Amino acid sequence: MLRVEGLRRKAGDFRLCVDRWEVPAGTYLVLVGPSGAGKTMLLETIAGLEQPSEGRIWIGDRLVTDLPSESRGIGFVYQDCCLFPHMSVRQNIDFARRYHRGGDRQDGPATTELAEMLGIGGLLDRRPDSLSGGERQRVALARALSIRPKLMFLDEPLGMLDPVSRETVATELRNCHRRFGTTTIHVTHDHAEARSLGDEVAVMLAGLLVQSGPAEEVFRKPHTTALARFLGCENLFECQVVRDARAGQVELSLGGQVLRFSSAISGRAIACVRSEEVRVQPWAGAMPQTASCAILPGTLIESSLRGPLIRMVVETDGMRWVSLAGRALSDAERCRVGMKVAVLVDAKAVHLIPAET
Amino acid sequence: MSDERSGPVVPSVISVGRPRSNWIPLPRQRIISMLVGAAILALVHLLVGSAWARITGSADQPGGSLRPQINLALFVANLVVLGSVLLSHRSLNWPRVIAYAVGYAVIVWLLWPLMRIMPENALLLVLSLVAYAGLLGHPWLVGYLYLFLLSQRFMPAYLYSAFLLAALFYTTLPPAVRAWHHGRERFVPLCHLAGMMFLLLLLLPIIYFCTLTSAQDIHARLKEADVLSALAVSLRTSAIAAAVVMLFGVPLAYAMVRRCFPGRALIDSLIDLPIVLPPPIAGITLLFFLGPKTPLGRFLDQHFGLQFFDSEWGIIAAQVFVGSPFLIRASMVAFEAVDVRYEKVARTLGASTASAFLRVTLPMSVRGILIGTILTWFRAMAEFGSLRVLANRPRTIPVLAYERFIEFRQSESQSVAVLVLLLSLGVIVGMWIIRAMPRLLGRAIGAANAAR
Repeated sequence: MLRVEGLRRKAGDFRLCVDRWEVPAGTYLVLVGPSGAGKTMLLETIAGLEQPSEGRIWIGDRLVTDLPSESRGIGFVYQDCCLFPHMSVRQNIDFARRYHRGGDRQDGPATTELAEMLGIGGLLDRRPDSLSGGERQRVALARALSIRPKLMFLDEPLGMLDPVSRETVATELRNCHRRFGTTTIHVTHDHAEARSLGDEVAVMLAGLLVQSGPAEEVFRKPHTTALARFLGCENLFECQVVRDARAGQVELSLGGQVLRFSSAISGRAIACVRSEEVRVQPWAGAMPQTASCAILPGTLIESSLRGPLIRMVVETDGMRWVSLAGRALSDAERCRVGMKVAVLVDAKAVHLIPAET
Repeated sequence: MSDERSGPVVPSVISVGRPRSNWIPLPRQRIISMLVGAAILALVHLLVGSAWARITGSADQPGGSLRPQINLALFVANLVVLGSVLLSHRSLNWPRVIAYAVGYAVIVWLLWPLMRIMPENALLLVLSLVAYAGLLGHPWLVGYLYLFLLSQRFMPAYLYSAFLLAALFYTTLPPAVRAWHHGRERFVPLCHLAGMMFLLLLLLPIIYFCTLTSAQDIHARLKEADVLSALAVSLRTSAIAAAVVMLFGVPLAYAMVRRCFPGRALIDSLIDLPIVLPPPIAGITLLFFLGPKTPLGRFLDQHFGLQFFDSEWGIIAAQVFVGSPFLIRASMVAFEAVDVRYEKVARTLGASTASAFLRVTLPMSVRGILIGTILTWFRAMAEFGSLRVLANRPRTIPVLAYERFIEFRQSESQSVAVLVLLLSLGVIVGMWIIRAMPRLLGRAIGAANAAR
């Protein structure tokens, strides 16, 4: 649906640079990156609100690089909604119907129909400043949907909401996507949000699109250590990987224990294990070793609550492991700081990143 | 609400019983004490008056014995005061009665010496007492009455200026004083106080000057032909000047805010040039550029019949020159306050850049532009220095006021000057209304929603 090639844009010291990027039709893609990574600038450039210094952009089969913004058919929702304060909710949603000057506009769904669908039917005659954050976000969504957009850009739509409205608006966004099937790009700096909402995730760091793909894959198998760190991976260890040609597998020594699994990487590498994949339990004497699971003895040095989760830091023979576990389900609650514990790491949970030279 | 569900809707009028009276039933003994009290006060007044007359040895001295009509008026006023004290409360306690009595005594104490100077001042006492009675329920408002009487007593020459300023302080200062008193925050109240002192210096001459002339005098001036024609010239030229500045200044302000171009910072400072340039210099500059002997002046005269020396065109040119910074600055501030993303959203919704400006940015910044326009308009009307050089005729109001001052000194120029002052005050009020507009509008909308 969206194809970008060789896009370049400079603003002061900042450089946006996207060599090739494709978003398939009907996808709900979450573009995640730290603040100032250029996510909004990328979207605004694609929407024609900023001019790229070079590059080409296709929407569907149409080359839109030289089209003005109003003819590109992109719905845009900003974090703070930008509802026109001098208009009522109805006039806001009707804006495109009244003032559209672009080329081929298809008539979008009727205002009342849209409003009913998003649960704002009763607010049509109100002014934006009398609405709550969640209501504003829905109005902004309805306004963007009123042009029946080919592409929908949501710039941190949940950023300014309280946790409850966050949940409902997030559901609303997914529902809208399901109903209209509009290809959607949702920008956020919150990777938890990205993981829970996106079919696909693309990560942007310092003006570069570093990785994109299905959400779980991106989170479990980041391509670089910087990306792994940004995505919240706390267990990163340098290691030596030895290829075992016979079995088509690699061998990896982790804290003195050997794990065996299949991977294409050998030589010096970074082993990356997400903290939710690391289990911690009280030490119950030496256990039989296998090649598919490493059991490392260590000392629990820190334990703190993270909402429904418990975060534990364990030191094992020069390595520092971080584990995140559900409070009710794990043995974690039996562990006390200073206790001797066992760290369990499954071979399947280990992802290898080639060491940077 | 739950009743309505069970049965047919009953009009609420029926369900309400006898309407509750707003009137407090009058107890007889209170009426009697009211009448007796007033009679005693009248007696005391007479006794004190005649005793005073005997001491000073002159019965016809003012304040000694007053004319019967004034005595009657005083009796009625006392009756009204006593009536409101006794009848406005369901229950009375001694502290309250004593507070009322002290308030009454203070009024009499303030005005008694004035009555001695001139018996007609008794009418002032009567009026004050009636006002006092009316304001008893609102001690805050009684303060204004005291301020007026204090000004009357101690600063009769500056009566109105003193009263207006005291009232201004009385209205705005208490929160600062309270904050100071509680010791929570001292710096801001101090700033507030210092600012108010400065305001006093600025406002005192203006208010005093306004009180020197009368409405009748201004009315008389408004019948004079040259005042009227000067007023017309002023209003016409300044309105045209404001329109011209609006036509070109608003686009300039928009471009300055939304575009980054080389030399932007320089232009940004040049906009303020007319403010820092002494007006006569502006006039001289314009004269050397557009005057009858310059090439451009000759060209415009021959081809378009436009003459700038001593003509309305000259007035407009000078006014445009000195008035433009205000509108441009105000518009720039207004445009800067509108997030550019509003325009971006409008564009994704299909509006062109011009349409996004007209439908979104302009309505959102219209208040700032309006305030800028009013400032420019009246700065143009107030222009004097450059007009003396470039276009002394036809006379505008400031030129007329000045010429009258030179010719006749105070008497004739005063009312013209006050007329201009009142016009300017009108501008201030207009800007205040524009600033308060969204709040008032919001309140009206809130009320409408509540009614619905």
